[in-house]
Amino acid sequence: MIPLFSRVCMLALAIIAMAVMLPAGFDKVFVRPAEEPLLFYSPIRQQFVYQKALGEHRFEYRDEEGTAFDRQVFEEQLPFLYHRNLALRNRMPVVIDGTVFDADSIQQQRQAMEIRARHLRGHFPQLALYPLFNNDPQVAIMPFPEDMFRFTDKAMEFLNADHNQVDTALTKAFTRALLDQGFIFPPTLIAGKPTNLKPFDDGYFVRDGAGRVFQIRRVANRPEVVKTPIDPTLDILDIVVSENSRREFHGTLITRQGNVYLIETGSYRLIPLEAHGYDPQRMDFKLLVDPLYRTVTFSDRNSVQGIALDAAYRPLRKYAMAAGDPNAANLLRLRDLLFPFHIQIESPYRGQAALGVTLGGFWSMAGNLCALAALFLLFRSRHRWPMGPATPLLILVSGWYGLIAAAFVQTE
Amino acid sequence: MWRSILLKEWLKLRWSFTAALVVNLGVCIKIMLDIRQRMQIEHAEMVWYEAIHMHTLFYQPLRYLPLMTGLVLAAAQFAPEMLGRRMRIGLHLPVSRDAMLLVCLLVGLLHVAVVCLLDVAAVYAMMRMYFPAEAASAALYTMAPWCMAGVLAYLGSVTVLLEPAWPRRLFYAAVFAALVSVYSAGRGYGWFGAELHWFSLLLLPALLGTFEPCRRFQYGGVR
Repeated sequence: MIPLFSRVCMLALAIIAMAVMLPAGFDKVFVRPAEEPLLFYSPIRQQFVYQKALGEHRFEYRDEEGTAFDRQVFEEQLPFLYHRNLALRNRMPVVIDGTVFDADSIQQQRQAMEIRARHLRGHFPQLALYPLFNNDPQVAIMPFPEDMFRFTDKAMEFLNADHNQVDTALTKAFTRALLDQGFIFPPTLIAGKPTNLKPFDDGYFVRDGAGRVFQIRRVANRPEVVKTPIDPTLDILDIVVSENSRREFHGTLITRQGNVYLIETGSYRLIPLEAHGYDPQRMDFKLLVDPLYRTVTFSDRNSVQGIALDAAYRPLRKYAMAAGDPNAANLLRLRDLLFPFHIQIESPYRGQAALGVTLGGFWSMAGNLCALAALFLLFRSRHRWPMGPATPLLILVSGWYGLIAAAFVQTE
Repeated sequence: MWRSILLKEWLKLRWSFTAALVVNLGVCIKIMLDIRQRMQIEHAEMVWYEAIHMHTLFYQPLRYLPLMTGLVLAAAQFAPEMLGRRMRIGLHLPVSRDAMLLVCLLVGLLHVAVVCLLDVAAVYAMMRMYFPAEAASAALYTMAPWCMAGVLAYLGSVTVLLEPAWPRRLFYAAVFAALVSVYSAGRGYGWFGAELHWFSLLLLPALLGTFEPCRRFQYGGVR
């Protein structure tokens, strides 16, 4: 009995190892990863234009109607994006609908934000310890604080890095300030930018135990807590703080259902962004702000969708395009033929291990039948089948993996 | 009988185990001195920032050490038995073949575990000394797959050494190399996250998988 168990275990290990390594190796050698097309809203054409990679550093540039143009014409369709290149070619300032835009005014009114699925809360490992930068008008630069804070069930606790001990005075001050605003411990979300490479500090947005969102800042080393009017019933996945010098909004709020809002600076009013079809679990999100328009794009491996909005965030135009696979169809068929399934240990949408099994399609079933035929050719007598009468079933399920494993882990 | 078998295993393992302990301890001391020096020449909060937000692993040199320990201890325990097929003598003792192999494997695994525990305890203590408790705890689940890689490397090496036929040896070596590389993958702390328990499930079949090569060894690889 033990030798049988032992053989089955070795067989399982071999199939798992092959299902992890062989498709990954095949992809590394033969398969070219798809590059996401870059989709922009052109204020000149009043429609979307895109750049699509063709491989070997070749690109095609087209608009929604399929009209192709070269790189220079493409840049001219996007003066708010390529204004520096246009300036070098003496094509600036640009006039759109009678309004003149020079490089400085464009630069001041531009903002770009990218939110990758792998960087959202819960999609990568992150210890809940954060630096809270001190907003001191007497200091020109933003020094890194000597402490980090964490939340316990009862307090906002500051730990001094020099002594690796709790800073009681700061802890008491911030905990008291939060309790005075009705904060309920422990919080369920902490969002901020833990870096001093930013023009100013907007502190942290923290959702308390009752779902209310508070903004916590450190001003002249004292707590400044604001209870925001953000709806506590929102099922918030994450808040991505912006801290851009335009100061139009504090950041972006994303719900688990894929709704996206901007948090207006000062009033904390939520500005809904049209992003129907956005799935934060498996899509990357971008927001481009220029002097006239706002462009929302979100994409996964298969498609890119763009929505152009006016300055008041009202939808103007939508466009969706398939990402396209740069690999020959026969190569993908061969991959399916050889590998009935692929065990992946990571995902492009996670910053940590994410186990997944991808099944092949029709061609994998054909591949399994080929492996079965190979069994009958190699071992003509059923008495010589590597794993006895169960061999055909094993190979029908696991294809070439099963055949190779059984050929090695066989009884003789 | 069992005491004699245990003594034999200890005699085979003692010098390699001591060497593994010394090397692991030495690397742990070097890591501690590196962190201490880093804390002295840089602001402590920046070192914290590196560890917590840049996901720098100050104990990264330990990533492949349990793996190497597993390989060395398996070789020390089973390579001498394979020279001149000496293990056949042991297999003629009046004890069950599988029970004897299991005892030998448990002795080897215990030694691998002691070295891994030393690494984990040392890293936890030094992280606790210089960093918040969260960072020290994160070190535990960051090092867990590295230790599992050590166990898998040990079991894989035993399987390869016991298997009498070269084609199968090479196949098993490739299978275990692939599996061990998965356990050694990842970046930063806690990369395996909630998936870690799925990976731990492979250790039991790896242990059971060694019995078939042992049976084949006993019969000279002809059954």
